[in-house]
Amino acid sequence: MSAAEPLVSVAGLSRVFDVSPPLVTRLLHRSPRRLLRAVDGVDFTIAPERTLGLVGESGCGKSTLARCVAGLMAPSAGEMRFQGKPMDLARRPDRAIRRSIQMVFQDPYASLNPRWRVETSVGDPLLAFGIARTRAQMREQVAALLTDVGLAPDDAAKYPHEFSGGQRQRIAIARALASRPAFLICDEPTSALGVSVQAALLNLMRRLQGEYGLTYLFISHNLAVVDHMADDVGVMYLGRIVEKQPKRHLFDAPRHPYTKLLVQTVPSLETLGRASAPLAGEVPSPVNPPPGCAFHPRCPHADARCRAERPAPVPLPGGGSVACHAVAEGRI
Amino acid sequence: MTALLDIRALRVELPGSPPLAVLDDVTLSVNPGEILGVVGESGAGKSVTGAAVLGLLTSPLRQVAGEIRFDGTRIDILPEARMRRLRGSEIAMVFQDPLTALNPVFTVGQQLIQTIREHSPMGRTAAHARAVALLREVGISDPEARLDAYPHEFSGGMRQRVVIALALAGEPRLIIADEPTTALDVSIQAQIIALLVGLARSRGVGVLLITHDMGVIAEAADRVAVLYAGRVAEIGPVAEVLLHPRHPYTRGLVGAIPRIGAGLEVLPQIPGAMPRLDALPEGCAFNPRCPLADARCRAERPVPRLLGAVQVACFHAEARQTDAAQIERPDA
Ligand SMILES: Nc1ncnc2c1ncn2[C@@H]1O[C@H](COP(=O)(O)OP(=O)(O)OP(=O)(O)O)[C@@H](O)[C@H]1O
Ligand SMILES: Nc1ncnc2c1ncn2[C@@H]1O[C@H](COP(=O)(O)OP(=O)(O)OP(=O)(O)O)[C@@H](O)[C@H]1O
Ligand code: SF4
Ligand SMILES: [Mg+2]
Ligand SMILES: [Mg+2]
Repeated sequence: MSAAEPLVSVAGLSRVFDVSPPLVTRLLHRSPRRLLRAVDGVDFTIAPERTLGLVGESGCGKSTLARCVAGLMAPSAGEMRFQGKPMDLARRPDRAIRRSIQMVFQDPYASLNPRWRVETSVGDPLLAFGIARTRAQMREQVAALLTDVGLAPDDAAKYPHEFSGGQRQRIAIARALASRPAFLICDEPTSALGVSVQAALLNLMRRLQGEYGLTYLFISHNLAVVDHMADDVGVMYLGRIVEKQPKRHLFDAPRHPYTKLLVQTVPSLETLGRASAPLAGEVPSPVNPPPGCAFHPRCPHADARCRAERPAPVPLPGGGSVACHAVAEGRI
Repeated sequence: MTALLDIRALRVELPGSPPLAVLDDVTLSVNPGEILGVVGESGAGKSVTGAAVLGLLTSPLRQVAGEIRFDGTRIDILPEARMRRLRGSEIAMVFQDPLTALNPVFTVGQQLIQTIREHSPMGRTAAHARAVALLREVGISDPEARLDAYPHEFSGGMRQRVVIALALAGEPRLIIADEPTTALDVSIQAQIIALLVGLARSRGVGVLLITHDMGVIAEAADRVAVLYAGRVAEIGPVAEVLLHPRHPYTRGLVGAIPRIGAGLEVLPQIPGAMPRLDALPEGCAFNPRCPLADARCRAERPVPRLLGAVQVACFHAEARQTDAAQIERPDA
């Protein structure tokens, strides 16, 4: 979507979980092995200092994708290049890459050790990666990081439970920034917070992106938040990216029927008092995904081909791509 | 009309020396067939309000003052055995995470049928028919077949609907829904909202809808209560409160909502953060963050006043919107 050499590029990334019942149950009931395709052949690239936003409902595989890209989980298949170099996704990434790719989670408790003082949480990567050589240097840098994320240097002596959710998220960001990463993966960093705390954090993250020259993969199920943060937006449905476009195109002229549905039903103050007409239908299970296009059971444009053949992404004129037979055939 | 739920001057404390007020003088009511939204940032006391109504305050929290009436009868002083009978029959609850409300080892049908028979003695066949009817009512297609499925075979939105079906099994007149759509994608969220609105309209069920999503409030609620630091800042008809917010905190909240296509560099944010329970300021709890605060705000606690149809706890609620515009200046 952008001419610049991408900082991150991912191709054919998949992650399968074995969710079979215990062996005894399987033998007794003759039930087959059950595989869950959490992420199913995802491709994307992100140019340096840009933000790719990723939206999709609960369970569509956003966090699994994030973990694979962050090197916290081995994918079942796929390739990734970082700063032009191929990464071996089957192995734990080397130090230089671990240092350059960091992640911020939805629940800051997941990334902050409750028994560590803030100084230890934020200072640990500084010492581990040899960025600070002495404890005095470490303290100084922790104080600077805390100031950068809008906390006070004195907060270094406190424990996570002494902070509110929004402040804990700031600490998690300071820790992620400590190793001077190039790429930050943010998995629903504000979803657990109210709008006012969210606004402050989003402003902070945009400011830091400029100051630190960061590239973001920004995950959220809130479309307005993604619109505020991202340059390009990918829409995920049942483990696949069904549409990916520069954000203005995506929000003004969504192409995939699922994206259209999302953009139409987003609740807002403008819809005051009239609940948007919900589209019937269920999100199918990733254990037994529908054949063909995974969206076909809910799609008003589905035909026989949609029920049988999986649509491949086709490029769109304004940049980006969409995986939909109806769009490819010019039916919609 | 007697209110279905009537909370008067409720005070809930965290014991200690001194005890800390988690809810302070909370007064609100829900009429039959009405959806009252409760918003506020994390820690404002939304869930504690719901828990108090259900008689489920977790230790060490205690109600120390006020009254809670259901259909005219005090329920905050009922013995636990009677309260338990009320819960799940006349008053039902729906929480954020549907998985915790469902038992993974029983099928959806087994759980529904058991709950139905707990509430009204009937034979298996009758209970089975009722279970099918309930699943159909919450919009699950092919309910006969789905009865034999286990919760993990359902998507998040379907599970939440099963939880609502379970809640409906006792024919409740009041539903306490604590963040029922937070984990769901907007398309499924719209279905759940439509379901709750339908229950209120068609069955006259009252709903206390707790959420930090203002979009959900705008679509679903008839009235809304804005909680700040355990106190009701503003309460009134949803269109009044969201389109003409009078309390400076509500004005800040509404301004901080990200909107699709707004194209802002920086989101408006309220400076500072909600004070911790042990650091509440004198006077109005919002005064340290408020652009309109004066000496009186810092000394005296504003008593809620009726302005038109809205009750506001602020000395300067009549100030013109433009005077408060400076609230929207971010402190980045
Ligand atoms: N360790 C695991 N074992 C088995 N299944 C898993 C595991 N982790 C995730 N899954 C499944 O993979 C699918 C994708 O999960 P994931 O957490 O990536 O979704 P998500 O898009 O992040 O959802 P949410 O918005 O709820 O965070 C889900 O069906 C989930 O149940
Ligand atoms: N069992 C408990 N013991 C001590 N403090 C508690 C307990 N339960 C809640 N609190 C405190 O009471 C306050 C209100 O909590 P509550 O859970 O009602 O917030 P909330 O508005 O629901 O927030 P969120 O949006 O995060 O769910 C918080 O300061 C919380 O820390
Ligand atoms: S009472 Fe004063 S401090 Fe409180 S919100 Fe109103 S103007 Fe602000
Ligand atoms: Mg996730
Ligand atoms: Mg809560």
